[in-house]
Amino acid sequence: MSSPILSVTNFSKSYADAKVLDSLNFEINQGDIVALLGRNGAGKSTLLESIMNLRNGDQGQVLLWGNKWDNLSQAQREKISFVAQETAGFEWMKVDDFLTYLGGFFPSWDANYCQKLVHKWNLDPKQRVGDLSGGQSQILHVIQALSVKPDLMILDEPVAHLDPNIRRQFLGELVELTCEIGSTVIFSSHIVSDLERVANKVALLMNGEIQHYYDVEELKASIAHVKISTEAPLQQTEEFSSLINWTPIAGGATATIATPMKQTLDEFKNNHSAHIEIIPMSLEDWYLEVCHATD
Amino acid sequence: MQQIKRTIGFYFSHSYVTLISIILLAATLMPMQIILPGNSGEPERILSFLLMSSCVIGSFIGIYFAGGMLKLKQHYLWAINPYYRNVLISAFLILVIVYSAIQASVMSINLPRLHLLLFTPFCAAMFSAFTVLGKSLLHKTLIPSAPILLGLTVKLGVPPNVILLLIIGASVGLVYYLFEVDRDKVKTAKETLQAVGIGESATLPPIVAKINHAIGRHLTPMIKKSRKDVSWAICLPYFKLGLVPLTYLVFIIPLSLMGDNEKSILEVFTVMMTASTLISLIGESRKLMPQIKPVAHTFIGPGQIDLKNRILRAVDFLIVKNCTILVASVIVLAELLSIEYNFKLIVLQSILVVGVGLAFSPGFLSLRWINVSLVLVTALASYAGVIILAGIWLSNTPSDQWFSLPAFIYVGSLIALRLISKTYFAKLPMESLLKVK
Repeated sequence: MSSPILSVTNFSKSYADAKVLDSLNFEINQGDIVALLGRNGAGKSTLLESIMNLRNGDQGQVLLWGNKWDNLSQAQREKISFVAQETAGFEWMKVDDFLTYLGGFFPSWDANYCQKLVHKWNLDPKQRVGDLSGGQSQILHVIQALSVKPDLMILDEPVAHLDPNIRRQFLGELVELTCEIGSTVIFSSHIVSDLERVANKVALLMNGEIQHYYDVEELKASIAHVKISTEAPLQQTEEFSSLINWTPIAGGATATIATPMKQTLDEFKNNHSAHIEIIPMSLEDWYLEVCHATD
Repeated sequence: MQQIKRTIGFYFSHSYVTLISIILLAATLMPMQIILPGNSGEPERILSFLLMSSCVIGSFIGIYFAGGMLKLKQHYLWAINPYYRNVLISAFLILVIVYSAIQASVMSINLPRLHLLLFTPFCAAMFSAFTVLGKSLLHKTLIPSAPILLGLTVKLGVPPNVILLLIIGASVGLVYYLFEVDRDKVKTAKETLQAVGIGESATLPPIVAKINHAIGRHLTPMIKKSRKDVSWAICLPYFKLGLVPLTYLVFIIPLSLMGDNEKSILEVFTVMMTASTLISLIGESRKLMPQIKPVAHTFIGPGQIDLKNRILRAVDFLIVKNCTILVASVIVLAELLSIEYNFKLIVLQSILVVGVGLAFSPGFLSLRWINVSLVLVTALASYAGVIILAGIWLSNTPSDQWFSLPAFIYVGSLIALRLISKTYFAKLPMESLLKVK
């Protein structure tokens, strides 16, 4: 198996007295599209900016292609693109000046692809960057990141201000790019429905750690609401210990399967004497259930 | 090279209005550097004029291009891509060096001695650039003031040549600093907010923010009780605004004590500091204005006009108060230290500067961030200040003739400017005043 493209080891970061990242460990392989989930203030931006070497950690290390940032070659650095959550500067430039200028710093810059995206997403090349709306500004930075044709793309809430139409198109471009040049992508988002469309891995950041990190398809096949029917309210027992949000009800109990088990859902259903009803669950529901379980 | 050319273009174009102001300033002073000294037989006066004028232009050039660089530095590439960093710094240095060469060639026509002085435009540009590029308030004040402090050591017997060499060496050191040391991580507004804690300011150093917070927490209920409006949110909770004149005193006191001509230092610096007091005040007020965003929509019609009037009055009050504190403190200081000074000159010039401040304040509050930068505000106001000073010095008018027709025309035009800009301020929709992007 090839070595990971990104590896974060025992990484910690604090602000004043608040520890945002706590001995975090995390790896991403070539070609993965990883969706990073977490509540507001969970440390998603801190993690992504630390990966980009924009923030110093308190301890631990971040390796890209097996190297620390100081040892990355110029060529490797130019194959990384990043979209920050908050973008500033460049307000006085025109859209095409901005893209041409920044494109000049990336040898792999695809000017034709860039123009195609500008046209496709209805940006006016002659408009000043400072006059763009929040959504348009985000589109501009996303175009800049995509046009680099990067090996590694790090996106901090790239679709937060985009309308559903553009959001879909952007996610499509992301998948195409990954298929075309094998880019590795990590993006944070609160729109969980999006990650089902593009991501092949999902990472959930909670309490300063990546507490859940799964293959999306494997996760989707493994999660469900369950309703266990018995004659009386049922308390959680050892055999159901892997279930979360256990709630005894008049005719049994309800709960959630939130982590992949060794057995399939059908096997889980058939291996118990009680009648178990499996109710399919979306990733968004899964996210809410997992967050609820930690409250 | 292509990227350096593009970067130079962006450094020029990041604020055209400011650029025009600086070109006007250079176009006024550079011909004077050639013509005026030729008419004056005193080498000391020639030297002072050449030095002062080239430092003024050099400082604005340094601040302006550093402002462009600062805007481009905000991109994440600054922190991770050495090529991007080198392009930005190289473009800045090319511009500073080209300007310095032009300025030096103009100066060389009339420079009576000390040819090392030909490096002063470069040094002025480099040091002043750090008022923008400095990482902290300490950097932003200490680095640009270092040449002044070094210059003062001439009073301790250090030969001027040595001081000049030290200043030139320090300028080269700043170039090294830019290339090799200044590789800070990007500090996002979010991180700053988290660092200082909720309820405090992201624009101020943590210690000042904590003082503000402590004072504001106790003062706010009283202010809200006595004044049923939100103009206090623009000025009063920010203790820093009231501290401005006292901060400037820190510079005036050692200058007065170390110079051999305390009288003129006191008189000149008092007026300059008074002018910069109101610039910083208006700049800060504009930054703090968005604080009333959450409640601004509740003011409509006459209520909105009333709110704007109250904001304007609060700013005017602070201008007058700060300038009064500064001038009064200087006078008390001069009395205590037995330094001779021209009371009438200091007071009259300060009134003149305050008048300019009051005339401009509604206009400055009306300007939107998107169209104008603080550099422009500084450039325009300082330009006005330089014109005032130059007018007073060059005309050498006796004080008994100050109340003449030109003076009345001048005051009349200030009043007209105030009325026009106040009308404009009153007519602007609240949203455009609060617009920060």
